Amino acid sequence: MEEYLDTIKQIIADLHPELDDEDREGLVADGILDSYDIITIITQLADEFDAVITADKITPENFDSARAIAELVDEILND
Amino acid sequence: MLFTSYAFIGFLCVGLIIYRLAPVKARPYILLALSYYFYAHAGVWCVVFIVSTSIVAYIVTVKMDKQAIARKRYLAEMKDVISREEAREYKARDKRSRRRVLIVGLVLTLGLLAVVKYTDFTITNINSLLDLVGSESRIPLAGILMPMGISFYIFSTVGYMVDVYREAVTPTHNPFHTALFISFFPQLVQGPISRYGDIKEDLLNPKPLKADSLKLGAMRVLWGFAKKLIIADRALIAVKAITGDPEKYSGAFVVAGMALYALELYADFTGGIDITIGTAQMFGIGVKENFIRPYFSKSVAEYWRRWHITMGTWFADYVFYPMSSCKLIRNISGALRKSRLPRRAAQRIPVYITSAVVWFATGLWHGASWNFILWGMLNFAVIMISQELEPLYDKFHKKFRFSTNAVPYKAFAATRTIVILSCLRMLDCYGSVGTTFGAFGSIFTGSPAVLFDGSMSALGLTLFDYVILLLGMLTLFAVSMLQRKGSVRTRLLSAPFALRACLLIALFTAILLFGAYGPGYDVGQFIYNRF
Amino acid sequence: MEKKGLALRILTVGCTLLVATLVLACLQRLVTPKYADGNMAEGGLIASYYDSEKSHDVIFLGDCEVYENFSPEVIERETGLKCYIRGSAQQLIWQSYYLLEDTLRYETPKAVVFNVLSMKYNEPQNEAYNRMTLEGMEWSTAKIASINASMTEDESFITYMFPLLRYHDRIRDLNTKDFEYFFSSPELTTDGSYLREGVVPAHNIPIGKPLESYEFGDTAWEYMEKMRLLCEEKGIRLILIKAPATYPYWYDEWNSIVSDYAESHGLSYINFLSRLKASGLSFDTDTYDGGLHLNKTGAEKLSAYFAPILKELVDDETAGIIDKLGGHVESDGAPTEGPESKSDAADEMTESPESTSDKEPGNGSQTDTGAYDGFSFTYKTLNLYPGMKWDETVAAQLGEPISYFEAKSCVFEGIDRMYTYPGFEIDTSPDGTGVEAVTTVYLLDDSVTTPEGAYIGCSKSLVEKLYGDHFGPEENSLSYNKGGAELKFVLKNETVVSICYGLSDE
Repeated sequence: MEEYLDTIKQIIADLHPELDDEDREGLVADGILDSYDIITIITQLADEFDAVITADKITPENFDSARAIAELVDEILND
Repeated sequence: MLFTSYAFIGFLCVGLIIYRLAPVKARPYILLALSYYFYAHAGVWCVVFIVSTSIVAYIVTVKMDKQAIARKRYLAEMKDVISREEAREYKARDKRSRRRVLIVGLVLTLGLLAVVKYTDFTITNINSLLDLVGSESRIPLAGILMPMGISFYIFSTVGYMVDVYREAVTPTHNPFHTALFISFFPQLVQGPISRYGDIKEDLLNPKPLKADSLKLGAMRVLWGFAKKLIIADRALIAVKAITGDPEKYSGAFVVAGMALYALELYADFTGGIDITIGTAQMFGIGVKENFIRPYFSKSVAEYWRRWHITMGTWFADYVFYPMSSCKLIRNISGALRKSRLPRRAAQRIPVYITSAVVWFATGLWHGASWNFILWGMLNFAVIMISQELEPLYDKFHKKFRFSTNAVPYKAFAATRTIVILSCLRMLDCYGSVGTTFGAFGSIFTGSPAVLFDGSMSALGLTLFDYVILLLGMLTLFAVSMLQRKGSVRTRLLSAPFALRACLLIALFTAILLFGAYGPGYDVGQFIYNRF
Repeated sequence: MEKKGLALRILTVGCTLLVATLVLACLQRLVTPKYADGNMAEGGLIASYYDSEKSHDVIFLGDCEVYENFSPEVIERETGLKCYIRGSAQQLIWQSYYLLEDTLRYETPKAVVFNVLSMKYNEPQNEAYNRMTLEGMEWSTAKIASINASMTEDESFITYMFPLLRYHDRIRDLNTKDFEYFFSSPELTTDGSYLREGVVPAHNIPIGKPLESYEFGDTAWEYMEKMRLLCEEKGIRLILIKAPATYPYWYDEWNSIVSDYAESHGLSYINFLSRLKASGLSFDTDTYDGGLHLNKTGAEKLSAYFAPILKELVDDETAGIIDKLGGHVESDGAPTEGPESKSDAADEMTESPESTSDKEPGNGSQTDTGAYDGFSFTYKTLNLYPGMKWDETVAAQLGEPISYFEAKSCVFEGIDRMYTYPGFEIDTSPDGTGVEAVTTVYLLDDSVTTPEGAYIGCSKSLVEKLYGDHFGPEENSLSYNKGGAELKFVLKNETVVSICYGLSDE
């Protein structure tokens, strides 16, 4: 899972350079990531890791932190 | 059957009585019979389409489910026998096999929609191409009639099949239940596009009905009738007059038309959905909201999360997200990432491409003609531009210390959104791209004086009508403001009987007296009814 | 305690419903037309019957040709016969029949006089006229049946049960009369007549254009038979009449059909159009609207003439009259009797074929009047087609018409106008928005041709050559549709006798 985490943090940083801590919680709950950001993340994840995230997996919990996203990728790839 | 017709009111009363008197177990079947009766009223031939769609959906979903069940059983049995690799291989094979079944289902259903809805559009375009290359031959139009609601129920069917494929939901093995989900009559007129998972409990496994559901539902239906008859049908008269003669009614009239259409479309569509959801509620079935005070939206993007919500989420879940992670987009994304473009652009472009495709499809779904497609693409353009301008807005707000939560700003943002959308909607009203742009252009050369010189009375509405429209608009606004704190109807139920009685009787009387129905009024079809 | 609560709830809900019903009933009464403000009194005629003393000798049934043309007062004065006219605007034959049924609930007259013009209407016609005939009836099986037979496609029975649904829009037009007559009804007539004063002489009466078929419809015959049988059953003498009026045109063929029917069933039939001289009617002095209806003087004259005839028919079972001759009022107001007017026209037609060369050319370039691409007739570079707006510019371009005729519909302000020009006639009517628009263009003689080259007197094969495949019953008409207009050629013996452009049904 660690291999994904760094890339994910980088993606988030690119989307929101103003963020101090890419590792923080509450990315969705606090309204930092909007739907365009989520789509961008999904596309990047599909591109870089071959991880296809289906609609039912797109929930606030799964995207609330970089760690959560990494866990999601892990789950999808190892299923 | 139109919602606002005596036939529907009669049908509803009789249907409710039968439904409520019937034993709970029999109710889904009764509802199915009622739905087919309702549908057949539009033409018996329509029933053929919806029945064949149900048959396809049933066969496809049950097959996929059986395959999934077989897979799970196999894996459970062979848990200790086969290796992890083999299990994964087996799962992948099963997935591919189920996908093939899904594809057959999609082809048959979406194909049906495509043939019925887009044949003539395709032929017209081919003919234009032939004309362009100087050929004399023309393909005659097929003139296929579109059965009512096909755009809606095909979409819910597709959603159902995909959800079953994704194993997000377990399909029913009862063909009548499948048919009922697809043909549930309140949704056949203008949606919403329901998801099987959301509605299956209420629909197929009904519990004894609560008294409140009847009251709440009836109130909602009444409210929908009021919106439709008092406001929408009245405003439609003027809109039709203005858009029917763009040469005569140019300049300031176009603006008046836009404003009236904004009111008309809102009252018509939300009114129709009120009747849909209210009717379903009277049958004890919860249907998801399709509108949440859309005219309070502060941006076009937000608007599309509040207007025709089920359409938006359908396109998101079944087109947008899947396409975002499809092979082609991934390749584009990868190629862009490795190029010399700045990171932000490389990330955004694939998203915009996907988004453009979705909006193209949305436009196309609204109607089989170029003005709708252009409308879809313009919506996309506006959203994309506001996305790109966001950093600029942020800087602006920081510099001028504007709170985006202040009421004046919110009012400004909402007004701006309504104006932009009204402009885009002109493509809907005027029918052709050329006429729309002409009308739009004329706004800047016309004089506002024409609105006050009495010409507005020549559109088919008198001062009395305009006053009613104004009062109606204010009432809608007031109710929407109240609604922000919670359902108005529920609060009404707990209000004193006298107040409730007075309000409802007043509303009922207002519909009877001020509704724009009867001889002398054109029976306004729901705008989305051509679906 | 629970029972008390339930009882209280039922009481409250019951009271509320009662109050609500009362409010709605009051509103309904308020918006229902009272027909008291002078310009639509015809609507109140049917209801007035119930206030009369129901001991009438003769009941008249029919439309405005009956209630404006006869004076029961004069008839009673001359013969002692008490008459009541159960007439209403554009009363259709089934409505007449059910009014008869309704009348029979109260009394059985000795005779019924029925104006046969309504036999030309086989289908429900007009919602507004339906209201004026039906709403005044008391509720009975006859009323229910009449409503069902009369409803046009967009009407619903429930709007007759609750007129609020029909008249709700009048809430914005309420006047003092609506409050004045909230509880009572205005007295409009004591004997069903509605006679008018004033003199407008008849002139420029258009001749009837040849029809493709002169048959009456099945529904019309159904109710004619029903009426005859009902009268027979009750021992009532049924007297068919055709009242004297210049318009709508009463074709000789129709006249023959009716007189044959009367003869074969032992009924009497009086065609007042063939008795104009005898009755002493003059369409210069006896009409208030150019010949469509008689004025008070004319009605009294006609009634004085009719009274002894009626008395004889009522008293003497063996007496009977069958008028076989047709009759028409000519353009200068002088009456002609008999069918010679038609044969004159036929003679004119056979003279013309050789003069094809000096016809008005109707083809050639025409000024484009916008997006219209259907059939049209051209005259002086102007395109004339059904549906086009009729305004001063069009009228100016056409020049002074040779003659002009107005036919006010029974009650409403909508006027059908007929403008006759050299060789053709244009009929107009107010369209849905009240604007005068062309409904039909008739070619009257062979001095004009259609843009494609057809003319009155040409052969069927020429038409087929010029226009190709046609639709419509072949025997005596050829119809072509284009762009919303229907171009119809009526044939007689394979020759074109009538050409008209009308609005297509599609």
